[in-house]
Amino acid sequence: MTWNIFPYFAIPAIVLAVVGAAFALTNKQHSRIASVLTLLAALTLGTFIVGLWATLQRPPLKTMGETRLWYAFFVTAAGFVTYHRWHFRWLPAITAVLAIVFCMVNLLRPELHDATLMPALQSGWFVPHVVVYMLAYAVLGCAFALSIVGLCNGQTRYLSSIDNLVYIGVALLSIGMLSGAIWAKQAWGDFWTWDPKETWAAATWCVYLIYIHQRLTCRTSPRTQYATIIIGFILLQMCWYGYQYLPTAQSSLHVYGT
Amino acid sequence: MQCFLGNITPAWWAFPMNVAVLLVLLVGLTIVWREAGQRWFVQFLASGKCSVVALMLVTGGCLIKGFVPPAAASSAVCVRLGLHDFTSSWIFAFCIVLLVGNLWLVIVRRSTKAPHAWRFALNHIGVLLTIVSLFFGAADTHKWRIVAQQGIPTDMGYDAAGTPHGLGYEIILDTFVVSFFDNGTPAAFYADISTEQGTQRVSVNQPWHRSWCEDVHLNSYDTQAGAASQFCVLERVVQPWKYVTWCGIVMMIGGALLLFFDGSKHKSVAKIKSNDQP
Repeated sequence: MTWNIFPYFAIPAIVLAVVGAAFALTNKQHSRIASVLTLLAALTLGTFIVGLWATLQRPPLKTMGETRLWYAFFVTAAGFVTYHRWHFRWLPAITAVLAIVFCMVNLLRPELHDATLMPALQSGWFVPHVVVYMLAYAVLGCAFALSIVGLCNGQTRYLSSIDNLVYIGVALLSIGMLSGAIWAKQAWGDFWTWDPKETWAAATWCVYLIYIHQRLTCRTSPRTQYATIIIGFILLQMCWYGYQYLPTAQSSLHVYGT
Repeated sequence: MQCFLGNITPAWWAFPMNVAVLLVLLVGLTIVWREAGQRWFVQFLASGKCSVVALMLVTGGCLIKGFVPPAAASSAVCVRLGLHDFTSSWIFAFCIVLLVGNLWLVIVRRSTKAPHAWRFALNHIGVLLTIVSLFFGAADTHKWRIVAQQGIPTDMGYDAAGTPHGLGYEIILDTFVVSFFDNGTPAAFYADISTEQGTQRVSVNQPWHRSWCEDVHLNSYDTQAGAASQFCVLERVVQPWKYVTWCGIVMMIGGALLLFFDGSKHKSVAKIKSNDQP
Protein backbone atom coordinates (compact mmCIF):
# COMPACT_ATOMS: atom_id res chain seq x y z
CA MET A 1 0.00 0.00 0.00
CA THR A 2 1.49 3.32 -1.08
CA TRP A 3 0.46 6.94 -1.18
CA ASN A 4 -0.57 6.44 -4.81
CA ILE A 5 -3.73 4.70 -3.64
CA PHE A 6 -4.43 7.09 -0.78
CA PRO A 7 -7.31 8.72 -2.74
CA TYR A 8 -9.11 5.34 -2.79
CA PHE A 9 -9.15 5.41 1.02
CA ALA A 10 -9.45 9.13 1.62
CA ILE A 11 -12.48 9.71 -0.60
CA PRO A 12 -14.60 6.89 0.90
CA ALA A 13 -13.55 8.01 4.38
CA ILE A 14 -14.60 11.58 3.59
CA VAL A 15 -17.94 10.42 2.19
CA LEU A 16 -18.60 8.25 5.24
CA ALA A 17 -17.68 11.06 7.62
CA VAL A 18 -19.86 13.59 5.79
CA VAL A 19 -22.88 11.28 5.60
CA GLY A 20 -22.41 10.34 9.25
CA ALA A 21 -22.24 14.02 10.17
CA ALA A 22 -25.43 14.66 8.19
CA PHE A 23 -27.27 11.91 10.07
CA ALA A 24 -26.04 13.33 13.38
CA LEU A 25 -27.14 16.87 12.49
CA THR A 26 -30.61 15.82 11.37
CA ASN A 27 -31.39 13.69 14.43
CA LYS A 28 -32.12 15.36 17.75
CA GLN A 29 -31.51 12.07 19.53
CA HIS A 30 -28.31 10.07 19.26
CA SER A 31 -28.17 8.50 15.79
CA ARG A 32 -26.71 5.02 15.72
CA ILE A 33 -26.21 5.30 11.96
CA ALA A 34 -24.16 8.47 12.47
CA SER A 35 -21.96 6.68 15.01
CA VAL A 36 -21.43 3.69 12.75
CA LEU A 37 -20.63 5.78 9.68
CA THR A 38 -18.17 7.98 11.60
CA LEU A 39 -16.51 4.89 13.04
CA LEU A 40 -16.26 3.36 9.57
CA ALA A 41 -14.63 6.56 8.30
CA ALA A 42 -12.01 6.31 11.04
CA LEU A 43 -11.45 2.61 10.35
CA THR A 44 -10.97 3.31 6.64
CA LEU A 45 -8.18 5.75 7.39
CA GLY A 46 -6.81 3.40 10.02
CA THR A 47 -6.65 0.58 7.48
CA PHE A 48 -4.60 2.76 5.15
CA ILE A 49 -2.23 3.63 7.99
CA VAL A 50 -1.69 -0.04 8.81
CA GLY A 51 -1.09 -0.90 5.17
CA LEU A 52 1.31 2.01 4.71
CA TRP A 53 3.20 0.96 7.83
CA ALA A 54 3.59 -2.56 6.46
CA THR A 55 4.72 -1.30 3.03
CA LEU A 56 7.23 1.23 4.35
CA GLN A 57 8.44 -1.22 7.01
CA ARG A 58 8.70 1.68 9.38
CA PRO A 59 6.13 3.67 11.36
CA PRO A 60 4.57 6.29 9.07
CA LEU A 61 5.30 9.13 11.51
CA LYS A 62 8.33 10.77 9.91
CA THR A 63 6.95 13.43 7.60
CA MET A 64 4.35 16.15 8.10
CA GLY A 65 2.10 14.39 5.59
CA GLU A 66 2.22 11.23 7.64
CA THR A 67 1.34 13.07 10.85
CA ARG A 68 -1.57 14.75 9.02
CA LEU A 69 -2.81 11.28 8.13
CA TRP A 70 -2.70 10.17 11.76
CA TYR A 71 -4.47 13.32 12.87
CA ALA A 72 -7.26 12.79 10.34
CA PHE A 73 -7.67 9.26 11.71
CA PHE A 74 -7.56 10.25 15.36
CA VAL A 75 -9.81 13.29 15.06
CA THR A 76 -12.44 11.20 13.30
CA ALA A 77 -12.14 8.55 16.00
CA ALA A 78 -12.28 11.19 18.73
CA GLY A 79 -15.34 12.68 17.09
CA PHE A 80 -17.01 9.27 17.14
CA VAL A 81 -16.19 8.72 20.83
CA THR A 82 -17.28 12.23 21.85
CA TYR A 83 -20.54 12.03 19.87
CA HIS A 84 -21.25 8.53 21.19
CA ARG A 85 -20.60 9.67 24.76
CA TRP A 86 -22.21 13.11 24.90
CA HIS A 87 -24.49 13.24 21.83
CA PHE A 88 -23.48 16.71 20.61
CA ARG A 89 -25.06 16.31 17.18
CA TRP A 90 -22.94 18.96 15.44
CA LEU A 91 -19.61 17.52 16.66
CA PRO A 92 -19.19 14.82 13.95
CA ALA A 93 -19.57 17.61 11.40
CA ILE A 94 -16.74 19.64 12.92
CA THR A 95 -14.41 16.66 13.28
CA ALA A 96 -15.31 15.62 9.73
CA VAL A 97 -14.32 19.07 8.48
CA LEU A 98 -11.00 18.86 10.34
CA ALA A 99 -10.30 15.40 8.94
CA ILE A 100 -11.28 16.48 5.42
CA VAL A 101 -8.94 19.48 5.57
CA PHE A 102 -5.96 17.32 6.45
CA CYS A 103 -6.86 14.63 3.93
CA MET A 104 -7.26 17.26 1.21
CA VAL A 105 -3.87 18.78 2.03
CA ASN A 106 -2.33 15.34 1.60
CA LEU A 107 -4.25 14.77 -1.64
CA LEU A 108 -3.36 18.17 -3.12
CA ARG A 109 0.22 18.20 -1.91
CA PRO A 110 1.45 14.71 -2.53
CA GLU A 111 4.88 14.20 -1.14
CA LEU A 112 7.62 11.78 -1.92
CA HIS A 113 7.40 9.25 0.86
CA ASP A 114 10.39 6.97 1.24
CA ALA A 115 11.05 4.06 3.54
CA THR A 116 14.15 5.59 5.10
CA LEU A 117 14.22 6.48 8.77
CA MET A 118 17.18 8.53 9.95
CA PRO A 119 19.22 7.08 12.81
CA ALA A 120 17.96 9.60 15.37
CA LEU A 121 14.40 8.39 14.83
CA GLN A 122 15.28 4.72 15.20
CA SER A 123 14.19 4.49 18.81
CA GLY A 124 11.53 2.66 20.73
CA TRP A 125 10.23 6.06 21.88
CA PHE A 126 9.45 7.23 18.35
CA VAL A 127 6.05 5.62 17.97
CA PRO A 128 4.62 6.27 21.47
CA HIS A 129 5.91 9.85 21.54
CA VAL A 130 4.35 10.89 18.24
CA VAL A 131 1.20 8.76 18.37
CA VAL A 132 0.30 9.97 21.87
CA TYR A 133 0.75 13.57 20.73
CA MET A 134 -1.45 13.04 17.65
CA LEU A 135 -4.16 11.52 19.83
CA ALA A 136 -3.88 14.44 22.26
CA TYR A 137 -4.25 16.90 19.38
CA ALA A 138 -7.37 15.11 18.22
CA VAL A 139 -9.00 15.04 21.66
CA LEU A 140 -8.16 18.69 22.28
CA GLY A 141 -9.48 19.47 18.82
CA CYS A 142 -12.87 18.24 20.02
CA ALA A 143 -12.56 20.43 23.10
CA PHE A 144 -11.76 23.35 20.81
CA ALA A 145 -14.88 22.66 18.75
CA LEU A 146 -17.04 22.64 21.88
CA SER A 147 -15.42 25.88 23.06
CA ILE A 148 -16.13 27.66 19.79
CA VAL A 149 -19.80 26.70 20.01
CA GLY A 150 -20.00 27.58 23.70
CA LEU A 151 -18.42 30.96 23.07
CA CYS A 152 -20.78 31.68 20.18
CA ASN A 153 -24.04 30.76 21.87
CA GLY A 154 -23.04 31.77 25.40
CA GLN A 155 -24.08 28.48 27.00
CA THR A 156 -22.13 26.88 29.82
CA ARG A 157 -23.34 23.32 29.33
CA TYR A 158 -20.33 22.36 27.21
CA LEU A 159 -17.82 23.01 29.99
CA SER A 160 -18.29 19.69 31.78
CA SER A 161 -17.67 17.79 28.53
CA ILE A 162 -14.69 20.03 27.80
CA ASP A 163 -13.36 19.20 31.27
CA ASN A 164 -13.34 15.51 30.49
CA LEU A 165 -11.74 16.05 27.08
CA VAL A 166 -9.09 18.37 28.53
CA TYR A 167 -8.20 15.97 31.33
CA ILE A 168 -7.68 13.24 28.75
CA GLY A 169 -5.85 15.64 26.44
CA VAL A 170 -3.55 16.95 29.19
CA ALA A 171 -2.78 13.40 30.29
CA LEU A 172 -1.81 12.56 26.70
CA LEU A 173 0.16 15.81 26.28
CA SER A 174 2.03 15.05 29.51
CA ILE A 175 2.87 11.51 28.47
CA GLY A 176 3.93 12.73 25.02
CA MET A 177 6.11 15.46 26.48
CA LEU A 178 7.69 13.20 29.08
CA SER A 179 8.38 10.40 26.61
CA GLY A 180 10.02 13.03 24.42
CA ALA A 181 12.14 14.18 27.36
CA ILE A 182 13.28 10.63 28.10
CA TRP A 183 14.09 10.09 24.42
CA ALA A 184 15.96 13.40 24.25
CA LYS A 185 18.08 12.38 27.23
CA GLN A 186 18.94 9.14 25.48
CA ALA A 187 19.65 10.72 22.11
CA TRP A 188 20.98 14.21 22.85
CA GLY A 189 22.10 13.95 26.46
CA ASP A 190 19.60 16.34 28.03
CA PHE A 191 15.96 16.05 29.01
CA TRP A 192 15.07 19.58 27.91
CA THR A 193 17.00 21.94 25.65
CA TRP A 194 14.37 24.62 24.87
CA ASP A 195 14.28 23.43 21.29
CA PRO A 196 11.60 25.53 19.49
CA LYS A 197 9.26 22.53 19.30
CA GLU A 198 9.77 21.82 23.01
CA THR A 199 9.18 25.48 23.85
CA TRP A 200 5.84 25.56 22.05
CA ALA A 201 4.90 22.20 23.59
CA ALA A 202 5.55 23.63 27.05
CA ALA A 203 3.47 26.71 26.27
CA THR A 204 0.59 24.53 25.04
CA TRP A 205 0.76 22.32 28.11
CA CYS A 206 0.78 25.33 30.43
CA VAL A 207 -2.32 26.86 28.83
CA TYR A 208 -4.34 23.68 29.27
CA LEU A 209 -3.13 23.49 32.87
CA ILE A 210 -4.32 27.07 33.27
CA TYR A 211 -7.78 25.94 32.13
CA ILE A 212 -7.83 23.05 34.61
CA HIS A 213 -6.85 25.38 37.47
CA GLN A 214 -9.34 28.01 36.36
CA ARG A 215 -12.10 25.42 36.56
CA LEU A 216 -10.98 24.06 39.91
CA THR A 217 -10.08 27.13 41.88
CA CYS A 218 -10.84 30.43 40.19
CA ARG A 219 -14.05 32.28 39.59
CA THR A 220 -13.32 33.08 35.96
CA SER A 221 -16.20 33.51 33.59
CA PRO A 222 -17.23 30.78 31.17
CA ARG A 223 -16.20 33.06 28.31
CA THR A 224 -12.69 33.26 29.74
CA GLN A 225 -12.59 29.51 30.13
CA TYR A 226 -13.73 28.94 26.55
CA ALA A 227 -11.15 31.47 25.37
CA THR A 228 -8.42 29.61 27.25
CA ILE A 229 -9.22 26.42 25.34
CA ILE A 230 -9.19 28.31 22.05
CA ILE A 231 -5.82 29.88 22.86
CA GLY A 232 -4.50 26.47 23.86
CA PHE A 233 -5.56 25.00 20.52
CA ILE A 234 -3.88 27.84 18.63
CA LEU A 235 -0.66 27.17 20.52
CA LEU A 236 -1.13 23.48 19.79
CA GLN A 237 -1.18 24.22 16.05
CA MET A 238 1.95 26.32 16.49
CA CYS A 239 3.61 23.44 18.28
CA TRP A 240 2.58 20.91 15.64
CA TYR A 241 3.57 22.74 12.47
CA GLY A 242 3.33 26.51 12.89
CA TYR A 243 6.68 26.90 14.58
CA GLN A 244 8.42 25.78 11.36
CA TYR A 245 7.50 29.08 9.75
CA LEU A 246 9.20 31.12 12.46
CA PRO A 247 12.85 32.24 12.34
CA THR A 248 13.54 30.25 15.51
CA ALA A 249 12.82 27.01 13.65
CA GLN A 250 16.25 27.15 12.06
CA SER A 251 17.76 25.95 15.31
CA SER A 252 15.22 23.17 15.84
CA LEU A 253 16.26 19.53 15.90
CA HIS A 254 12.64 18.51 15.22
CA VAL A 255 12.58 19.56 11.55
CA TYR A 256 13.21 16.12 10.16
CA GLY A 257 11.07 15.72 7.08
CA THR A 258 8.17 17.58 5.49
CA MET B 1 18.44 42.85 38.54
CA GLN B 2 18.13 41.81 34.90
CA CYS B 3 19.15 45.25 33.68
CA PHE B 4 22.13 45.47 36.01
CA LEU B 5 23.45 41.92 35.79
CA GLY B 6 22.27 40.70 32.40
CA ASN B 7 21.47 37.01 32.07
CA ILE B 8 22.19 34.47 34.75
CA THR B 9 25.76 33.16 34.95
CA PRO B 10 25.36 29.43 35.59
CA ALA B 11 28.75 29.04 37.28
CA TRP B 12 27.61 31.25 40.18
CA TRP B 13 24.86 28.76 41.04
CA ALA B 14 26.79 25.49 40.89
CA PHE B 15 26.63 23.09 43.82
CA PRO B 16 26.38 23.82 46.75
CA MET B 17 24.95 27.27 46.03
CA ASN B 18 21.94 25.90 44.13
CA VAL B 19 21.08 23.46 46.90
CA ALA B 20 21.45 26.18 49.52
CA VAL B 21 19.17 28.57 47.62
CA LEU B 22 16.60 25.83 47.10
CA LEU B 23 16.60 24.88 50.77
CA VAL B 24 16.29 28.51 51.85
CA LEU B 25 13.37 28.92 49.47
CA LEU B 26 11.45 25.82 50.52
CA VAL B 27 12.18 25.98 54.24
CA GLY B 28 11.53 29.69 54.27
CA LEU B 29 8.17 29.28 52.56
CA THR B 30 7.21 26.53 55.00
CA ILE B 31 8.01 28.75 57.95
CA VAL B 32 6.11 31.66 56.42
CA TRP B 33 3.11 29.39 55.85
CA ARG B 34 3.11 28.15 59.42
CA GLU B 35 3.71 31.53 61.02
CA ALA B 36 1.79 33.85 58.72
CA GLY B 37 -0.56 31.57 56.87
CA GLN B 38 -3.54 33.85 57.43
CA ARG B 39 -2.04 36.84 55.66
CA TRP B 40 -3.55 37.63 52.27
CA PHE B 41 -0.21 37.48 50.46
CA VAL B 42 0.63 34.03 51.81
CA GLN B 43 -2.90 32.83 51.08
CA PHE B 44 -2.50 34.06 47.52
CA LEU B 45 0.89 32.36 47.09
CA ALA B 46 -0.67 29.05 48.15
CA SER B 47 -3.77 29.45 45.99
CA GLY B 48 -4.91 28.18 42.65
CA LYS B 49 -5.10 31.78 41.44
CA CYS B 50 -1.36 32.08 41.95
CA SER B 51 -0.96 28.84 40.02
CA VAL B 52 -2.80 30.43 37.12
CA VAL B 53 -0.66 33.58 37.35
CA ALA B 54 2.58 31.59 37.52
CA LEU B 55 1.57 29.39 34.59
CA MET B 56 0.63 32.48 32.58
CA LEU B 57 4.02 34.02 33.27
CA VAL B 58 5.83 30.84 32.26
CA THR B 59 3.69 30.65 29.12
CA GLY B 60 4.63 34.24 28.31
CA GLY B 61 8.28 33.37 28.76
CA CYS B 62 7.88 30.40 26.42
CA LEU B 63 6.25 32.63 23.81
CA ILE B 64 9.12 35.10 23.97
CA LYS B 65 11.57 32.23 23.60
CA GLY B 66 9.52 30.82 20.75
CA PHE B 67 9.10 34.03 18.77
CA VAL B 68 12.41 35.82 19.31
CA PRO B 69 15.43 34.27 17.59
CA PRO B 70 18.77 35.08 19.20
CA ALA B 71 20.00 36.90 16.11
CA ALA B 72 17.04 39.30 16.18
CA ALA B 73 17.72 40.25 19.79
CA SER B 74 21.28 41.43 19.32
CA SER B 75 20.77 45.07 20.30
CA ALA B 76 22.15 46.23 23.62
CA VAL B 77 18.68 46.74 25.06
CA CYS B 78 17.48 43.30 24.04
CA VAL B 79 20.60 41.68 25.43
CA ARG B 80 20.19 43.57 28.70
CA LEU B 81 16.60 42.33 28.95
CA GLY B 82 17.74 38.81 28.17
CA LEU B 83 15.58 38.47 25.05
CA HIS B 84 18.42 36.80 23.12
CA ASP B 85 18.22 33.84 25.51
CA PHE B 86 15.14 34.49 27.57
CA THR B 87 15.08 31.24 29.49
CA SER B 88 18.45 32.19 31.00
CA SER B 89 17.20 35.59 32.15
CA TRP B 90 16.44 36.72 35.70
CA ILE B 91 12.91 37.55 34.54
CA PHE B 92 12.23 33.96 33.52
CA ALA B 93 14.01 32.71 36.63
CA PHE B 94 11.58 34.75 38.72
CA CYS B 95 8.67 33.13 36.90
CA ILE B 96 10.08 29.67 37.61
CA VAL B 97 10.78 30.48 41.25
CA LEU B 98 7.20 31.77 41.64
CA LEU B 99 5.92 28.53 40.11
CA VAL B 100 8.16 26.43 42.38
CA GLY B 101 7.10 28.41 45.44
CA ASN B 102 3.43 28.06 44.56
CA LEU B 103 3.82 24.34 43.93
CA TRP B 104 5.53 23.88 47.28
CA LEU B 105 2.90 25.78 49.24
CA VAL B 106 0.06 24.03 47.42
CA ILE B 107 1.60 20.69 48.35
CA VAL B 108 2.15 21.79 51.95
CA ARG B 109 -1.41 23.04 52.44
CA ARG B 110 -3.18 20.20 50.69
CA SER B 111 -5.02 17.78 52.92
CA THR B 112 -4.02 14.19 52.29
CA LYS B 113 -7.55 13.12 53.10
CA ALA B 114 -8.95 15.04 50.18
CA PRO B 115 -10.16 13.11 47.12
CA HIS B 116 -7.73 12.26 44.36
CA ALA B 117 -4.83 12.52 46.84
CA TRP B 118 -2.60 10.18 44.86
CA ARG B 119 -3.32 11.95 41.60
CA PHE B 120 -2.68 15.34 43.16
CA ALA B 121 0.54 14.22 44.88
CA LEU B 122 2.00 12.50 41.83
CA ASN B 123 1.26 15.39 39.51
CA HIS B 124 2.33 18.25 41.75
CA ILE B 125 5.32 16.65 43.46
CA GLY B 126 6.41 15.21 40.12
CA VAL B 127 6.27 18.61 38.42
CA LEU B 128 8.09 20.18 41.37
CA LEU B 129 10.92 17.64 41.28
CA THR B 130 11.27 17.90 37.52
CA ILE B 131 11.35 21.70 37.43
CA VAL B 132 13.66 21.97 40.44
CA SER B 133 16.13 19.42 39.07
CA LEU B 134 16.22 20.95 35.59
CA PHE B 135 16.28 24.58 36.74
CA PHE B 136 18.47 24.44 39.84
CA GLY B 137 20.49 21.56 38.44
CA ALA B 138 21.29 23.34 35.19
CA ALA B 139 24.33 24.96 36.78
CA ASP B 140 25.81 21.53 37.49
CA THR B 141 25.13 20.22 33.97
CA HIS B 142 28.08 20.26 31.60
CA LYS B 143 28.20 19.34 27.95
CA TRP B 144 31.50 19.06 26.13
CA ARG B 145 32.11 18.06 22.52
CA ILE B 146 34.95 15.62 21.91
CA VAL B 147 36.53 14.98 18.53
CA ALA B 148 37.68 11.37 18.65
CA GLN B 149 40.15 10.50 15.90
CA GLN B 150 41.22 7.12 14.66
CA GLY B 151 44.45 6.04 16.32
CA ILE B 152 45.03 9.42 18.00
CA PRO B 153 44.20 9.71 21.70
CA THR B 154 42.41 12.78 22.93
CA ASP B 155 41.62 13.97 26.43
CA MET B 156 40.07 17.34 25.63
CA GLY B 157 36.46 18.42 25.40
CA TYR B 158 35.06 21.78 24.30
CA ASP B 159 32.07 23.57 25.73
CA ALA B 160 29.54 25.61 23.73
CA ALA B 161 31.82 28.65 23.85
CA GLY B 162 34.74 26.63 22.47
CA THR B 163 36.65 26.66 25.75
CA PRO B 164 38.76 23.51 26.14
CA HIS B 165 38.41 21.33 29.23
CA GLY B 166 40.42 18.30 30.29
CA LEU B 167 38.37 15.11 30.39
CA GLY B 168 40.59 13.34 32.93
CA TYR B 169 40.75 10.30 30.64
CA GLU B 170 41.73 9.49 27.06
CA ILE B 171 39.56 8.40 24.17
CA ILE B 172 40.76 6.81 20.93
CA LEU B 173 38.48 6.05 18.02
CA ASP B 174 39.10 2.43 17.02
CA THR B 175 36.42 1.83 14.41
CA PHE B 176 33.72 3.91 12.84
CA VAL B 177 30.99 2.20 10.82
CA VAL B 178 28.17 3.79 8.87
CA SER B 179 25.61 2.18 6.59
CA PHE B 180 23.44 3.92 4.03
CA PHE B 181 20.04 3.54 2.46
CA ASP B 182 19.78 3.18 -1.30
CA ASN B 183 19.19 6.93 -1.64
CA GLY B 184 22.47 7.73 0.12
CA THR B 185 21.06 8.88 3.45
CA PRO B 186 22.68 7.34 6.53
CA ALA B 187 20.81 4.35 7.93
CA ALA B 188 22.86 3.70 11.04
CA PHE B 189 26.29 4.50 12.42
CA TYR B 190 28.30 3.58 15.46
CA ALA B 191 31.77 4.08 16.87
CA ASP B 192 33.97 1.72 18.87
CA ILE B 193 36.18 3.79 21.18
CA SER B 194 38.99 2.75 23.50
CA THR B 195 38.70 4.17 26.99
CA GLU B 196 40.08 3.45 30.43
CA GLN B 197 37.07 1.16 30.87
CA GLY B 198 37.93 -0.84 27.76
CA THR B 199 36.32 -0.69 24.35
CA GLN B 200 32.90 0.95 24.29
CA ARG B 201 30.43 1.01 21.42
CA VAL B 202 28.55 4.27 21.07
CA SER B 203 25.69 4.87 18.65
CA VAL B 204 22.75 7.25 18.29
CA ASN B 205 20.21 6.61 21.06
CA GLN B 206 22.70 4.28 22.79
CA PRO B 207 25.25 6.32 24.75
CA TRP B 208 28.11 5.02 26.88
CA HIS B 209 27.22 5.37 30.57
CA ARG B 210 30.64 6.15 31.95
CA SER B 211 29.53 6.85 35.50
CA TRP B 212 26.45 7.58 37.60
CA CYS B 213 26.35 11.16 36.33
CA GLU B 214 28.28 11.04 33.05
CA ASP B 215 27.20 9.80 29.63
CA VAL B 216 29.01 9.97 26.31
CA HIS B 217 26.82 10.29 23.23
CA LEU B 218 27.67 9.87 19.56
CA ASN B 219 26.84 13.12 17.86
CA SER B 220 28.13 13.10 14.31
CA TYR B 221 31.00 12.20 12.02
CA ASP B 222 32.79 13.39 8.89
CA THR B 223 29.76 13.36 6.57
CA GLN B 224 31.93 14.32 3.60
CA ALA B 225 34.07 11.22 4.00
CA GLY B 226 31.09 9.01 4.88
CA ALA B 227 32.16 5.43 5.55
CA ALA B 228 35.80 6.50 5.40
CA SER B 229 35.38 9.00 8.24
CA GLN B 230 38.55 9.25 10.30
CA PHE B 231 36.87 10.96 13.21
CA CYS B 232 33.58 11.19 15.04
CA VAL B 233 32.14 13.82 17.33
CA LEU B 234 31.11 12.70 20.78
CA GLU B 235 29.31 14.65 23.46
CA ARG B 236 30.16 14.17 27.10
CA VAL B 237 27.24 15.10 29.35
CA VAL B 238 27.59 15.40 33.11
CA GLN B 239 24.22 15.79 34.81
CA PRO B 240 24.26 14.90 38.51
CA TRP B 241 20.62 15.92 39.05
CA LYS B 242 19.31 13.53 36.41
CA TYR B 243 18.04 11.00 38.94
CA VAL B 244 15.88 13.66 40.58
CA THR B 245 14.55 14.47 37.13
CA TRP B 246 13.88 10.80 36.49
CA CYS B 247 11.97 10.57 39.75
CA GLY B 248 9.88 13.60 38.81
CA ILE B 249 9.19 12.24 35.33
CA VAL B 250 8.07 8.85 36.64
CA MET B 251 5.76 10.53 39.14
CA MET B 252 4.33 12.80 36.45
CA ILE B 253 3.65 9.82 34.18
CA GLY B 254 1.85 8.12 37.05
CA GLY B 255 -0.14 11.28 37.71
CA ALA B 256 -0.98 11.65 34.03
CA LEU B 257 -2.27 8.07 33.86
CA LEU B 258 -4.50 8.77 36.87
CA LEU B 259 -5.97 11.77 35.00
CA PHE B 260 -7.72 9.26 32.77
CA PHE B 261 -9.76 8.15 35.75
CA ASP B 262 -12.62 10.12 37.29
CA GLY B 263 -12.15 13.15 35.07
CA SER B 264 -12.73 16.45 36.78
CA LYS B 265 -15.54 15.55 39.16
CA HIS B 266 -16.56 19.04 40.22
CA LYS B 267 -18.65 17.73 43.06
CA SER B 268 -15.40 16.78 44.75
CA VAL B 269 -14.00 20.27 44.20
CA ALA B 270 -16.37 21.74 46.77
CA LYS B 271 -15.13 19.21 49.31
CA ILE B 272 -11.50 20.05 48.48
CA LYS B 273 -12.12 23.75 49.01
CA SER B 274 -13.70 23.16 52.40
CA ASN B 275 -10.82 20.89 53.47
CA ASP B 276 -8.21 23.41 52.42
CA GLN B 277 -9.19 26.11 54.91
CA PRO B 278 -6.12 26.62 57.19
